[in-house]
Amino acid sequence: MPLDIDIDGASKTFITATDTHVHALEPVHLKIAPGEFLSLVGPSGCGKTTLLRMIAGLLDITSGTIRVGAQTVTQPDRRVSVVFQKPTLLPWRTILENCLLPNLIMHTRTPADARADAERLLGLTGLLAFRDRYPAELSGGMQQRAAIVRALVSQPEILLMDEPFSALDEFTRENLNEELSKIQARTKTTIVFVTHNIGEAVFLSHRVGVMAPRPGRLGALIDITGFPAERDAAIRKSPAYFAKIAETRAAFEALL
Amino acid sequence: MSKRGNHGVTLVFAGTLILILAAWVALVELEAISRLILPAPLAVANAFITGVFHGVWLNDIFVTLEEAVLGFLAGGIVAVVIGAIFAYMATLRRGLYPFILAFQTFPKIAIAPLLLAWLGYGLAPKVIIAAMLAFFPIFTNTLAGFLEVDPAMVDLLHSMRASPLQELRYLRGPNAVAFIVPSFDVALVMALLGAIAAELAGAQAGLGNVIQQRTFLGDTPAVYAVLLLLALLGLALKLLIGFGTRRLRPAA
Ligand SMILES: Nc1ncnc2c1ncn2[C@@H]1O[C@H](COP(=O)(O)OP(=O)(O)OP(=O)(O)O)[C@@H](O)[C@H]1O
Ligand SMILES: [Mg+2]
Repeated sequence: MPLDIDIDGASKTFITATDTHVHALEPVHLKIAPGEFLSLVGPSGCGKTTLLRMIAGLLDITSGTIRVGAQTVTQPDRRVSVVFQKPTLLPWRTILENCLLPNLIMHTRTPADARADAERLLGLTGLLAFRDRYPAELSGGMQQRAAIVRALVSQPEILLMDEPFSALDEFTRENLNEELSKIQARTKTTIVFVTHNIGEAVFLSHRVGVMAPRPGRLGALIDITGFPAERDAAIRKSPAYFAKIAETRAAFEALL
Repeated sequence: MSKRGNHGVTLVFAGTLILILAAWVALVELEAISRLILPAPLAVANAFITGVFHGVWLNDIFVTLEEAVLGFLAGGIVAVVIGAIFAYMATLRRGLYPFILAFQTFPKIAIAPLLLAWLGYGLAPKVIIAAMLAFFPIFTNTLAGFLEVDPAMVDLLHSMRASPLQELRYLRGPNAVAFIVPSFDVALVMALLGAIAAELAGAQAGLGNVIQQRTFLGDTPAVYAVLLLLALLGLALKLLIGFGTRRLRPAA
């Protein structure tokens, strides 16, 4: 069952060690539908990670509330899986063992089932040959792919992804964009996807949230309509794609 | 590139060894330094062969190694247990920190004569000194291993709602092992140092005892031979522990 997310005026003010207040994020109002793919784009420091961590229950919300399904967020939720900005693989576990860690902790699936799924997803991301290697033996991009597999193996109902593909080359990124869209279309997982890349956001999303810095805020929402649920490479050549990129860019410039 | 690099390393190593030996021979041949201070290399080699290969020092080698290894084990076990307790009990850690710091900075070898007076000339005081010296490298790394965990990894486990026990099992425990294991070779060398120092304060057997007796008799070649033997023993222990713990180290 895909879940919805209701962000009701959630804001974040950090109080630093020197007692200065950093307004990282102005109140955000945003409803994300079950099964929606929503991207957040914006320059560095505009509060993307902060918003994602608050949804994940990893960061206290200064004011307002966030609801995931029927649950008000006060702590992490096992139905929500996070792909962090860094791969965050445990160095003493092999790639496959890392991918099976969520299931060791949450026991949501049988070990055999989780293993079969992990191997299938590692194959899909070109990592099957590396499943018994340690993270240090893989490139940064390969590690990040493994982290995505790890998040998917736990079959989350909500997937929060913080710039998961920013360390990848253009070709791998486009490939994985298509795979992610395929997976999302099939599983109907609600995805909140943070990126710096407007093209990537337009390609993947049902909606794009445009964020702006100083103070960090959600400025505009762009609907991406007219594309099939499962996005394919041809979309990147379509006029509609370029039009949406231009529209997003314009929304972003209007915020400065 | 790497092959040439290896040749370079071998060259530097062999060159330095030859240089040291040549300087030694030259100093002895020129009679620049009294034989009582610097014996001839051949005399040292003879003393080494008699002591080690003819088995004269065999018992002493065994005694010193026994003290060092027992001290390493005792100090190591205590260090890991106390380190783990301290890691999980912040109040205890902060409250006892001044004592730990005082104990750490204190030159522990200085209490060897006192320990000898209390416990006699046997094994116990040597093991205690060796254990005290072996304790700190392992203790410091145990504490760091449990506490200095990548915050991103803590976030990851929190996001899965891992229990404290799961966090210990999958994150803090293995992280601690990765910190503790590399401290073993330093700790073992410290234990050897502690054992020798305690023997010098008073002993009936052991390589420290041999050094003291031979120095007293003016048998400088034997003293040099024991020093050489200690250098080799330290190296052997370091290699042995490196080999023994290879499987425990992360691939990184
Ligand atoms: N722990 C913290 N203490 C104080 N300020 C913080 C903390 N974490 C983030 N901030 C501030 O909050 C603001 C938003 O940070 P955030 O990490 O959410 O940005 P971001 O949009 O994810 O940037 P990037 O694209 O570089 O990852 C920044 O100005 C940052 O300095
Ligand atoms: Mg960020």
